[in-house]
Amino acid sequence: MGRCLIRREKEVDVIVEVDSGVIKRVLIGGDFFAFPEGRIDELQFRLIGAHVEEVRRIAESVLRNCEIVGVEKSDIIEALEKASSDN
Amino acid sequence: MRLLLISGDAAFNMALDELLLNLAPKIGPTVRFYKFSPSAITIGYFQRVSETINLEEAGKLGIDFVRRATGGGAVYHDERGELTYSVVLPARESVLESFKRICNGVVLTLRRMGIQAEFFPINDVVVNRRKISGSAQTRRSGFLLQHGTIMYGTDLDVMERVLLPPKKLAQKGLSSIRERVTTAEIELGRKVSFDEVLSSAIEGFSEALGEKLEETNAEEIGLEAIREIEARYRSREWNWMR
Repeated sequence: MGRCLIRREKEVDVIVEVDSGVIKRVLIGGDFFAFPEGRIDELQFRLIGAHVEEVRRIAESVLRNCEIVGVEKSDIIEALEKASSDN
Repeated sequence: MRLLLISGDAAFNMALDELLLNLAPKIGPTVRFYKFSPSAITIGYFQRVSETINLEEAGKLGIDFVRRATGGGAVYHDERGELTYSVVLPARESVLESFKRICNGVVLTLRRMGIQAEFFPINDVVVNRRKISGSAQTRRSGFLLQHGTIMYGTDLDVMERVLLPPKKLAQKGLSSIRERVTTAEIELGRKVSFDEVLSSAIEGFSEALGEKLEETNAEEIGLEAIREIEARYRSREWNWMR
């Protein structure tokens, strides 16, 4: 299991569980704001079963029409990649 | 602009805020002032329960929690020390601009009470750098819901017991929640009542939003759909999703 916390004005805290290069579990937490919030749930859902190398592509696609406040979109993607590679 | 003065427990309060947002395309903007009866904790939509609430202490004190539909951080809502507001408006401004405009209602409320409060971006109101109010926002169907606190007599000992300190506090050189928050009673050095804050808030929000607030009964809106939303806020599936 890998974990990555990035703090800006708010924070994003990501936990990723990987088995043989495939994502088994993802939790994107923190006190940031997302509009709409459901995009973050969708991102978690879409990442399960994906290969770790697909994290950036999937995250960029799902977050395209999502406004994030308190952290940057790039922070969420970076946290996902770091937590995935820490496994 | 419609003013609603209806309070309940945490699940009811969050359900009513969400219902007002859902109904907004039909019924238009609303300002609501309320309290949490009994005292409760709310956590941000993306927060993990086990990392934000001291469940053992909250359990001992009989303080329950509910996950909000809005992002942001965990809040202890003291039944006898907090006025909570919610505002539903057309989402015409950016998130940051709307936080500032609506939080100005809190600033003007506190200034009417003689407290030199100021907006602290993104979503706080502070007095001498100590937080006295926090707000959170969500948006759907062209409308925004922003809700937030005005702490007038919150029991900071209880707050410190039931909330786990955010990791970012240590980064700011502040070791505890208590060191970074204040209340109207602390600032004024006297007791403050809910009704005193409420009358200032009606004036303060009216000034900030540029419209007179007119009290409405729940029956005039039709709150039948609240039960279904309330059931979600009472469910383990929702509250423990993270």
